[in-house]
Amino acid sequence: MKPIILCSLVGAILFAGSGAARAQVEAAHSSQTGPAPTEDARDAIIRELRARIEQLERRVAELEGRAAPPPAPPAPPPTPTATRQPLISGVADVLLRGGDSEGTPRRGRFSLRELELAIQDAVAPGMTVEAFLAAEQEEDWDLVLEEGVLNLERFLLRRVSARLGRLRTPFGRQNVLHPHALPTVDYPAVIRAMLGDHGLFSDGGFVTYRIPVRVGTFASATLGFADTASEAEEGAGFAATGQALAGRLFASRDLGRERELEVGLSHYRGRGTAFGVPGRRRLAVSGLDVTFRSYPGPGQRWFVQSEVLRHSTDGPGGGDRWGYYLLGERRWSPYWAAGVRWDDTRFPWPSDERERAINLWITRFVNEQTAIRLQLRHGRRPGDSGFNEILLQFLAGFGPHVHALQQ
Amino acid sequence: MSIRNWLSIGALVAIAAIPAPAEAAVEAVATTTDVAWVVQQVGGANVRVTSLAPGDRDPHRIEARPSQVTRIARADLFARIGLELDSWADALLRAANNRKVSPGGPGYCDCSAGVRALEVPQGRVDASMGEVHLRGNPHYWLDPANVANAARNVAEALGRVDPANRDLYQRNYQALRRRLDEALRRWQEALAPFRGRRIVTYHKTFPYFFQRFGLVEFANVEPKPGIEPSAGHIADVSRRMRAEGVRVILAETYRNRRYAELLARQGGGVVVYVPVSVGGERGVDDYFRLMDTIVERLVAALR
Repeated sequence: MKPIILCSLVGAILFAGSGAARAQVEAAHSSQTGPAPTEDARDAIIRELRARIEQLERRVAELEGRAAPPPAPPAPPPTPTATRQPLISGVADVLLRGGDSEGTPRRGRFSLRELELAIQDAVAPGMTVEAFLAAEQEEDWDLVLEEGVLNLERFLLRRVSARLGRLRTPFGRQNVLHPHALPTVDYPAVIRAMLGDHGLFSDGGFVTYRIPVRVGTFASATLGFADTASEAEEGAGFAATGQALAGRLFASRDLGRERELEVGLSHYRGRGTAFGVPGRRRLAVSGLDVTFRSYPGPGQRWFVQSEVLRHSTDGPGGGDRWGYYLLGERRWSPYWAAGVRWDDTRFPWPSDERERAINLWITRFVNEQTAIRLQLRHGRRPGDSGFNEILLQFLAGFGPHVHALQQ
Repeated sequence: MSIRNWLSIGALVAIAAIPAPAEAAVEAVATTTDVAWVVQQVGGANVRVTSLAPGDRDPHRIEARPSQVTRIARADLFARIGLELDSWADALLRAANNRKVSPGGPGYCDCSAGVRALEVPQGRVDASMGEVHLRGNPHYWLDPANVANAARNVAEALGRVDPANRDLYQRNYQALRRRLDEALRRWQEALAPFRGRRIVTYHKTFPYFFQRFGLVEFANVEPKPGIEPSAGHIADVSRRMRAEGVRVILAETYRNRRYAELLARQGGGVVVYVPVSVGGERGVDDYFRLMDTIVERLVAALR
């Protein structure tokens, strides 16, 4: 900007400002009976002068070839931030299955695997209710209550909390996750084989005690008594039914900056039925889970997890069956992750067959609730000596969706 | 599982249960390093504070870890940035079940209380708008006046949990406020020649900073908050940058550099990487150094 223009403008500001001030002071004087203007009049003069200065400053900025700073945004109208509404959210899980095996259900078809609707709200201080309704497509559409839980954040004692109602049985790490929250398209084979096709559910109550431990460590113990009604994989598995006792010990340790090691032990004891076998047998499932998480950089995560399960049944044809999975996933940005999972499990009583598979996947996160996942699987399972599957999953979530801390 | 195995696990848990000795009168947990810094300035030697999130990470995308629960369970003060930026800490608060620091408790401090939030969405909000915060843009700490407001909130909360030292906390708050006021004048002078200049930012991190220092947000590298940039969006912004002579792209140090660099190449601009939290990079160990760093780098790029 030329100095002469600047000087002219400054002079104009001073002249105009003083002129306006003088004029208004005189006007104020003339309208007053006293010798000095009132405070209101002085304020009005000052406001006008400030407005003129801002106007001239904008003019200077324009002449300098720059955009004038926008005026301060008007104060937003007072918005009613206090609402009394439950959190309502949903997740649609659409899946395309392909591959060379006739054992792949709905092969070659896009299907809405599940539509989950969640309603969550506090009902009293320290008490929340959660209901997760799922529309699932088996042969026909079913609407099931996946979870309906009353959470008591404080139950009798300070360190004790409780969950009552219908819930995913607190057994291991992946059984407690809803399908859309899994790192893969589906549950590991050992979960499907030993806990049921959709995992293990209970109607009952579970009490968790947070064990007092040193800072940097977390430990909890959970014990519950419940009715179980899991679903078996058709033709191969078992179904836990009836009253059961379940418990879990969990410990987590901070391993320095942004690394965590988590270890859990789970035990389930009850009764179960199997296809083609009359009556119910006593059974027990025990599990050991280990999870390691590391956050090496912004938006990045290494995730390694394994669960080993032992399934024991009494009576003829019973015995111990073992299975496990080993999973590793690398998230290298907020938007991308890829991983591998090795499944190896025997099927529980009465079948003694085995499934082994290697799974590879890549996930593109559109945002925190919406993602696209491609998973490839190659393996062997009963009746399928060398199958290949391709799974393409679309997850679309909406609304505020809250999950409790995993433990 | 045998009784012996259960006993072994019990013994391991018992070993972990040995409590750590207390060192400070007030144990505090902050969700971010900026809040932790404020708590330490106001609390002084009476307070020991830990930040849940490191300063060099995107505070939107922190994963809560179980080991952090114990710290909150033992805390006298829980101070958060608020405005939904640190919603990830809610699961920890619930698991810790510490009434003293739960919302409504004497040791719960939402530092955003009293902040005049910018970009508060009006009407219906959904995911098509990106990751929008219902209570407004949460990056308010980049305006020093809002840090003074946070310090006042912290002083009041500390006074509630440690009433014997209430006056000390108020004095520390007043001293911090004076230091912030002085520094603010210095930063304003440094940026005064650039009032009205338009800048591209990666994310909507700087509205409070820009409003305070008279700068203008021209566009964002992200098409919507939290959404990965597309090639089409980069091309569009770069065309607008060239057409309107906008050169500077301001990005947080934790951002993916690929997109900002691509935009700089296509739009003929330069990327300025800045930490946006205390601890955001080596040497940025307090708020004054943080703001000094942002202002210095911005002045150098705008000159």
